[in-house]
Amino acid sequence: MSPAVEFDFNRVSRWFSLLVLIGLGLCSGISLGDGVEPAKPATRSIESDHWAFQPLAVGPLGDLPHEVGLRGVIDVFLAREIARQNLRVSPPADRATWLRRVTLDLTGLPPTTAEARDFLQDESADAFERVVERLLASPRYGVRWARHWLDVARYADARDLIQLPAESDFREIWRYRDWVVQAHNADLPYDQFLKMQLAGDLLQPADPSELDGDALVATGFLALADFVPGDVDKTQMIADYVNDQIDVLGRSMLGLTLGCARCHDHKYDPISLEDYYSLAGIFFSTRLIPSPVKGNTPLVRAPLWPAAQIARLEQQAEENQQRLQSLPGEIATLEEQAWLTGVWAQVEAEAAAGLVAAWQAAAARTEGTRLAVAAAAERHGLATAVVQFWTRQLNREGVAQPLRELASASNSATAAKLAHELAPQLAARLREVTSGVASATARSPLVALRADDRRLEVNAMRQVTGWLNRGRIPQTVTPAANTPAPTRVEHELAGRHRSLLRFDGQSVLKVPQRVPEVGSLVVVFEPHPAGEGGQRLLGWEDSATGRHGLGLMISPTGGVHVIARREGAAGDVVVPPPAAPGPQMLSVTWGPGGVEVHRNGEKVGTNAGIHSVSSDPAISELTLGGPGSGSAPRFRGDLGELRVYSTPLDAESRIAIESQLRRRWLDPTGPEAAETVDPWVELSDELLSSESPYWVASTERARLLSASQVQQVTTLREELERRRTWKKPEVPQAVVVRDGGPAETPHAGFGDAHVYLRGQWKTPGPKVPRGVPRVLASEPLAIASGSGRRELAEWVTSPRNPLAARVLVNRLWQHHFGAGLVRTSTNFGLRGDRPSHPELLDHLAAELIRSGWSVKSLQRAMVLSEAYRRSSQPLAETAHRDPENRWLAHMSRRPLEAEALRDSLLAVAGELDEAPGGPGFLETNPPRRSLYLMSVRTGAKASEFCPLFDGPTGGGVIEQRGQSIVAPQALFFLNDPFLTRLTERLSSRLRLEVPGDDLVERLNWLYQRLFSRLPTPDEISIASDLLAGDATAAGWDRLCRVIVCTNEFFYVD
Amino acid sequence: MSTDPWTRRELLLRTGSGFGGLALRALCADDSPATGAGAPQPAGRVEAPLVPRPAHHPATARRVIFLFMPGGPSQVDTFDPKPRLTAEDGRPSPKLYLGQQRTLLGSPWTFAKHGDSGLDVSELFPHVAGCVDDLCVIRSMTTDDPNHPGGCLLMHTGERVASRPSTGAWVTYGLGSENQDLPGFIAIGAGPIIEGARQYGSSFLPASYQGTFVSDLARPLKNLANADVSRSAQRRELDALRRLNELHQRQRPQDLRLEARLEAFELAYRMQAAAPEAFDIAGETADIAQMYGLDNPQTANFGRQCLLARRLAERGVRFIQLYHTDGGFQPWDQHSNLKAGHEQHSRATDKPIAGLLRDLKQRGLLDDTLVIWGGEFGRTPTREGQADGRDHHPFGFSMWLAGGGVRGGMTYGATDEYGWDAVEDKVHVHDLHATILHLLGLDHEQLTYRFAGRDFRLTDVAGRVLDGILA
Repeated sequence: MSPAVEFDFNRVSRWFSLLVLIGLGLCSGISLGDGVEPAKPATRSIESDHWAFQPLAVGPLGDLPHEVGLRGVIDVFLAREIARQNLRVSPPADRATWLRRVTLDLTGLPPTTAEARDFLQDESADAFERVVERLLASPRYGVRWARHWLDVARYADARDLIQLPAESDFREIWRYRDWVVQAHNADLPYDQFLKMQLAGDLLQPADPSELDGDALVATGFLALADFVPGDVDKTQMIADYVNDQIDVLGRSMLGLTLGCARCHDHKYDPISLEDYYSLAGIFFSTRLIPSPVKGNTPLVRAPLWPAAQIARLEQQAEENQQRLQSLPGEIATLEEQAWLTGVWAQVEAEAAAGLVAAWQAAAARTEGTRLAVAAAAERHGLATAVVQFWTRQLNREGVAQPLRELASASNSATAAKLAHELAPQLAARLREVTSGVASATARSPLVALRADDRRLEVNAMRQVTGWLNRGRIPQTVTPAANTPAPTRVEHELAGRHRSLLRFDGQSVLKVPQRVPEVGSLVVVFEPHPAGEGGQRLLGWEDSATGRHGLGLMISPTGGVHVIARREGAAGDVVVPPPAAPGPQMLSVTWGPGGVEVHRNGEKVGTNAGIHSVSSDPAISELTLGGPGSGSAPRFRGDLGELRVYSTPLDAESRIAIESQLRRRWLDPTGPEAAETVDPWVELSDELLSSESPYWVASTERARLLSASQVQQVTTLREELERRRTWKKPEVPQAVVVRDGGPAETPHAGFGDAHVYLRGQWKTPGPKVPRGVPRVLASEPLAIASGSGRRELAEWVTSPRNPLAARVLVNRLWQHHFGAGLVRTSTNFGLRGDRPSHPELLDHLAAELIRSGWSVKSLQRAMVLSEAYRRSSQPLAETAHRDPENRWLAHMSRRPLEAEALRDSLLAVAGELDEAPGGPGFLETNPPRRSLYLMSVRTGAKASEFCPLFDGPTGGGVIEQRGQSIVAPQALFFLNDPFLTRLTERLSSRLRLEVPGDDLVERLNWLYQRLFSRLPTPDEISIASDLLAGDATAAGWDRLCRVIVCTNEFFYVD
Repeated sequence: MSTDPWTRRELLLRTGSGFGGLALRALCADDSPATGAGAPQPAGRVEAPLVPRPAHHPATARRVIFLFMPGGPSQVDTFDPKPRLTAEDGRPSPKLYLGQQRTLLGSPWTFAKHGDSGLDVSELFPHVAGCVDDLCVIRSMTTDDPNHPGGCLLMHTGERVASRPSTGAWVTYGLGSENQDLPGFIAIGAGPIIEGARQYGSSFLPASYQGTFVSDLARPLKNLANADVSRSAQRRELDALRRLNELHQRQRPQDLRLEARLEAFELAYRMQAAAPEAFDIAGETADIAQMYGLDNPQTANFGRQCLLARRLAERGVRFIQLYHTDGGFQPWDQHSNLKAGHEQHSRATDKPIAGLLRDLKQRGLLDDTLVIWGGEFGRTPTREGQADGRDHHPFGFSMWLAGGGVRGGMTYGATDEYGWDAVEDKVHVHDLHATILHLLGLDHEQLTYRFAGRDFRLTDVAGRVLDGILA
């Protein structure tokens, strides 16, 4: 049965003597010294009579009429051998059989009923041609034929989805797979196809602002190397992946088992150890990893956009970030501005009357304050709340005195004076708001607490009993129950004595304020050097459940951990202690731009993990000094000031606030004592507080906006929404190789490789110049610059190398006819098979090159040949005399490959989703084409379907798929839920398409869809028996399953 | 080739008895003629893969149970006592480990001599110690790769990096299986293993030789039942299928694949009954359950694996690979916490393994069942860092074999006095593989598969049979 490789033993033994001589040369080189001298040029040229190494031989075709074309040439060459073997050819297959054969062959799917009908009715001369053109032009062609290449490119979607970190795996390699599909569909010239895979990174446009992403992606062919990224011996690891690259280059492109020469001269082919390391030098000078690192080594990746485009994106992201920070403030400003304008108008209109009314009410106390106020209000035509407000002011320390003086004066004088004193305050507020966000937000904190506040109440022990929150809504801050209060101390801070609040590691104050979902805080504090690590300075936190909104944890040396959480997502920022301990001013901003932390004005950390924090209704208080209960250590140290804003501060506002606080707390030349307060400033603060009769909560202020302001706010809100939902596009990346060996290894840069004796890197032999096997090239590879990969790629596809074209022709032949003209399609060496039709092989190879390496042209000729049209049933005599169908007197029956089987099932069930490309999927169930089923080298988490039907597991180069017939496959057909679902779908489709319950009509539909033919009477009778008494949906489901289980469905005639 | 294959096929067709089991055998015979096991075969040929094939020479073992201990158990703490290492605990190691100076770490366990043979076993394996007269402890194992992936691949496939068929696949390819209703090669492990399917894969051998991986004992094999179709309804479907296929075949005589596929459906039909029975341990007696430690949560997991191994062995499964993966995918990898870790893992496996050996023996199965114990490498005699742990050690480590024609109660080879390098009768993984094949009646140099124009072997270009351990 084996058409044995006929060795010319004289020739082979000549070979061996030559190789032995080379081997001896190597050995003596070593014994002389460390052997770094290059190999002797005398060994450059090697001659071989082996057929595959000879130039393409295209002889005359004899008296062949010119118009037969390439397909005719195929038939002529085949006919010569058939005649020589005294065989008779089988008759042509019927048209339906040919159509199913060619459609599955070119697209991996069976013909539809309509396609079959059209073709069977088409009596025109070019009916066959038009089918082939339609199929070659279909995008399904690429999906089908890419897989054949991926088989020899040892393609896998990942190495290991469980233990390997993503950066050490090639999980973006699906881009390479998609490129292979596109290249096939576009009929990318085959020489170009090979060159891009070997050297696409070096075939980039001259203009640096452009980038050929496809060419980069194509180098995934080399980046897919099979090796262990976690190898502790990195030298070995690099040698291993280089070996894999050489092996795949040899077998997929050259039909040579080059890897065999890694350890010793090739036993059978004239490929020596030196040849191997000549090639290895090229791949050692190429990097697949940037440099080895301990543990799992990451792989080289490259962005697929030109640098300028990436820079534009970064700029856009930066701008988005800035706007996200400033927009909430701009909106708040407009609303605040509308409110302030209203407050001012009302103050102007009724402040004087209110004050006088309050004064009069106070005078008429006999009737009781409440009634007096109400009466006075009515008398002046004012709201009671207005008079109540002024009544309170008349009793307020610091403000009362000047107000009383005013109120006792005449009404008009009061008005004038009030207007005179208050106007500048309110006007200034309004001006600040109008002039910009900075001032508006700066004046509108939610919480504003100052240790040097005049109105901070202390007892005799100087312990805080109440502290007025001067924020937007004045409230009193009190010590938490059962904790000692902090004390007010006069202490040196940043070179000056200042009033500070001292926390002792126990004290806690509570501020009744929920955490703003977005906002900023600024705090000035100094930790005590003897405090505990991990102490809480402040935060919104439910200590019982451990839920955080936002919190600050500090170390005694001043290190800070900002805790920022949103429903389990963390935006934490950890800031190491400053170089020198001391007081610090910390600003934290959280919002659409993520979390950002500044210390003393310097940015010290960011985290884009969250864009707002959780505002848990259960956490209603901000605690100062620590959480309200629980075991976390509390703050020990001094607190100067705290501000919290409910809008994220933009840079300008933050800087303004920080400089104010720095002056107040951290400037050695700043003011020593607390500032005195202007009563009119106090009064205007009160007028703008929640105690004011004119108070409108910030959430309500939108209604105060004028029509034009509403328009403005709407526009701003839209922008905010747009920017919030804008997702920075990820720059697509590919796993690629780059020129130059991995950094921090002896291979860094470019250089020739040492021979590794017995394949061991620990026993280096002499260096050999980079190049290609001498048996294939008499000239050394002239490497202009770089690794030599570009030159290697040029050589592989050059007319000087006959192997690339022969190997491709043979591979196409194998997939169309079931076996190659050379049956060992990845081994054209001395141990490989000899071509059955050497002249045909060379003729087609030459034609391939002449046609500009058009793969589709060759395939067109093959599938339109007479040979391809023959029946797959051998004549009895042929079966006897040519059992392996070496001479192609008939076609070969073939099973559906795993992918074609699954895709055909999906197609006939009407479920097939032909969405192209993208990452692979793991389950068998999604109805996508099977090309996209994940294959993972370690097998874990990979789809089990393909391996069940001899599909690839991504382990190695697959020369030809197996055709196993085993019980687990049958179990799949009988019981698998996926198959059950599809047969039920097919059945319901059938019942829908043929609604009547006519058995024959339904079977006609089914047989036409599946087999492009009508059922025979026997088949109808078998179906009828199966359905006997049960022509229900379930009965039809069963029949559909039986039909897809048949050999007719599984085999292609 | 001396006989014309078509004569046989024609005979088959003419006698009319053609279809059924004969077709499978005919196919098999065509593909592996007189030379029997492992005649070179071209890639991509159709197979009737699991039909039993004659061996190259008389076998002493008919099947293999490989107890794989992922992570690498320590030799100096289990089967290779090193008094000098214990004496010099804490001193600098006389050798560098991958260029690093480390300190010696004496074993925290004591060794004692057991059985008639007086073999040394540490207190980690009290139950296995009771079986030493059946064990052949190889103390001089070496391997080429100090990493888990490469170490595991080499131990299973004979190659560190590239894709190669696993030992179980080679054996099943060479000999077929004795039970046509079950897979010929079954791997059982609770969780993922480091190189996944490659460790029990078939690589370029036909897919039917790959190990069937069982991780869920409640659902050992896929697609064994169809909740919606009764057995009788399924029988009717299969009968209709057979009739349709016979019509199809009538115009396509000579293509035996068509019949083979039909028969695969019949086999599947039988397997639906046979496989659940094989994997169902409910019928085992309480004594047996206790023997394997099923009554103790610490030993129940691996005990169940071992008991299943015996059931499958009894039913003629050719190669059974067990992975001990309680406590992670490589439990024996004690870089730290050696004391607690090795104690936990030996406790989990000791009684089940001893139970398996005794049970096989009492059923007369140990005589022709080869049991193998070991990991991908050993562990360093030195401490790793400051921790109570040992690093990977490929230079000299222990494995043991039992049954299947191996001499019991002996040690083979030796490491130096620290348990560092194998110094006497070194055994490379290739040698172990050659010996396994030899015991099964296969010549490791003749068991080849023609792939990509080359005849591949499990032992590549190396391997020697360890004559010294043959009974």
